[in-house]
Amino acid sequence: MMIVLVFASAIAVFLASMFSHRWRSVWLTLAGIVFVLSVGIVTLNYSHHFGMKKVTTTSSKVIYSATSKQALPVILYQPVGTSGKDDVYLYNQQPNQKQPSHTQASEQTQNQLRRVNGDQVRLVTKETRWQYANGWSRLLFAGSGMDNKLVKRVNTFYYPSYYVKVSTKQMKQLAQRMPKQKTGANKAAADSSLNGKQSQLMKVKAQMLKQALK
Amino acid sequence: MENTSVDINGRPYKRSLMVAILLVGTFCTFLNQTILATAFPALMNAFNVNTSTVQWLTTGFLMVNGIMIPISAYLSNRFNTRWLYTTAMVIFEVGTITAWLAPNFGTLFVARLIQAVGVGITMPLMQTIMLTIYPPEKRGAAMGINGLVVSLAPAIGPSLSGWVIDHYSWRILFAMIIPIVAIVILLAPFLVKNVIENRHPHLDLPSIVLSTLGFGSMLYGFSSVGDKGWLNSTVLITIVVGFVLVAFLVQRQNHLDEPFLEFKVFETPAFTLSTILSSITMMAMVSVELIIPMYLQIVHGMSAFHAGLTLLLGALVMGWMSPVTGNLFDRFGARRLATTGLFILVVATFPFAFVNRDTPTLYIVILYAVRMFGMSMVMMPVTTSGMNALPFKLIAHGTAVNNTMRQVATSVGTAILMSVLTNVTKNATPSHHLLTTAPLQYKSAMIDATLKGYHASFWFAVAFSLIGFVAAFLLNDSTNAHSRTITPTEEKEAAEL
Repeated sequence: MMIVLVFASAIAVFLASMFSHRWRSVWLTLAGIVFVLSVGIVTLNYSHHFGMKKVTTTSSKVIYSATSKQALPVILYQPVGTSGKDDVYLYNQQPNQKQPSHTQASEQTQNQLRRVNGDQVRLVTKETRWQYANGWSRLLFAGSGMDNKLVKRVNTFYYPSYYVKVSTKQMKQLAQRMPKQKTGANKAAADSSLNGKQSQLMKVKAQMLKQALK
Repeated sequence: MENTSVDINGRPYKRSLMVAILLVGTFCTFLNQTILATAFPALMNAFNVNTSTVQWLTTGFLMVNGIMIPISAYLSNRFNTRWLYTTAMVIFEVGTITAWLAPNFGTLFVARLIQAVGVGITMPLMQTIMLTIYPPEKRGAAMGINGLVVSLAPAIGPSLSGWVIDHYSWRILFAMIIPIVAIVILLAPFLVKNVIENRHPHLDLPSIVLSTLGFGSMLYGFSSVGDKGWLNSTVLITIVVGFVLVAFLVQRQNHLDEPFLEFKVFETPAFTLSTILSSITMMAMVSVELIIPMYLQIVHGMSAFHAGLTLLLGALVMGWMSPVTGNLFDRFGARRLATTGLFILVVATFPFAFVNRDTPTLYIVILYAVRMFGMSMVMMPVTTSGMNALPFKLIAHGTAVNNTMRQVATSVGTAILMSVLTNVTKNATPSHHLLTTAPLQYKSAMIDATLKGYHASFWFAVAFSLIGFVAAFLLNDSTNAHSRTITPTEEKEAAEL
């Protein structure tokens, strides 16, 4: 709407300057003011997000370890850079998902890890996006694509405290060493199954993973 | 409009047919200025060369182009129009065929230079012919038609070549032009008439050498600034040598009975003003034309083809407006058009100085088109008013001088912009350390730095257009057409519109 006005008022300036005979300066001033204002408003719309407001939505869901098929208590991640700030985390949305999901590798995305008691893994995503401040600005800036632009996304993972953080590279190495340790693992599995507690089993596996990674 | 005119030998001819064939031919040659812009990646692959090497296909082309323009004044006065135009088109065709079949990069480069010789002759020749065959009070409209080709063809180039590269191969870029130019060459001897008065000016060889080396060296220097910076010794030496040689050239012309290039055109104040004004506007234009495609590709992640497509609306607006403003020039003169156009230009350039990663593409498309809308009221009308102020026999010289100045201004403008862009970006670039520790944050900081560079360059564009806006008020409030008197009926017509 506003951008259409920019084009229309530019044409109006041209017409007023060229073809108005009487009241030329009045028409010209009028068209000129509308042109300058509409260009100004359009510019403010993207430079200072005029007519937009930040809307934050939070969603929370239960997720599973990326290795949920093997039932391993693992926080799988792919390092990006050495500082860890840009790391991408992998997880499953369904217990038997084939290809794991991952967090977005983008400058707007931040990931945090929190340790909790219990056995459930949860992901809380807090997204801040620009949205039209009201119906009026929705009309003014329609079609601009300014709506729903992502400002910031924070993924907070809640993992049980015993889960082990493993990089994708380490995971591959572990997979190669697995056969050797199979006996130990089975023994431990047998032990814990005596107790009949799933969480007990996972904790034992976590212990072994830590051992293996040392 | 009457359809028959007489050539210098007093024979009648169809003016519209002649103009049509000139337009088609010149359109093909002009297209070649920008047609390789989006083809570079494909060419780098095909010939296994790097970016700075492949750039020479355009830089070398523009340099030879710039060298040929000053010579064109002599050529158009010395040789008859028909054969000069036909020969230029044949040279261009030879270059195009060579480029189409080029087995290696060297051949392609030479082919481009051959093409550039043809373009360098047709470009000013077309303008001189148009100014010659229309009476002064219709020159605005004539230059408007000329502007349609001059501004539309280079603007279509990138989008067209992007499309061709995506669907066919880079060779088609040249192949598609060959049959069209062949038809032009076949028809030109019949349709193009000898319209420019021929003399037999003495060919001053030292002047040709001075002009070629001087402008060549200057253009080379300025086009290397982006790569090497202002303080590079090659850049400094070539620019200084260029200026010294051109100074000698000017000095020499004052002593010649029949100057090779008539710099006395600057003694006509209206011509000088129009040349300065069109050069300033040119700088304001190239700055945005150069940086917007980069912005769209780097910040918005568009392909070169889509970036070119984004600018197409602006090109179409300018092409469509060109005949309109040409007609208006004949009625109102340059001042009213130029001040209006530059006002629109100034206002529509400000938003570019604030672009960020959120700026919608739609806004860019429209604001760019509005800029071109304003530009269409400035370039051709201002040039025409300058040419109108010159005596008839100096038209060819005026065209050569005006086009040479614009060419130099473009290369100076580009050089200033590229160095501002590189320096500002370099100062804001994050430490290299960040690339290894947090590459995503590095990328983000890098885009911020690039945006800072763009902003600085766009402020330059704002400054250039502001200077132009103020200078436009110095323009004469008439068309400068000497034979012009406005009849009362015409005034009434104008008022009613």
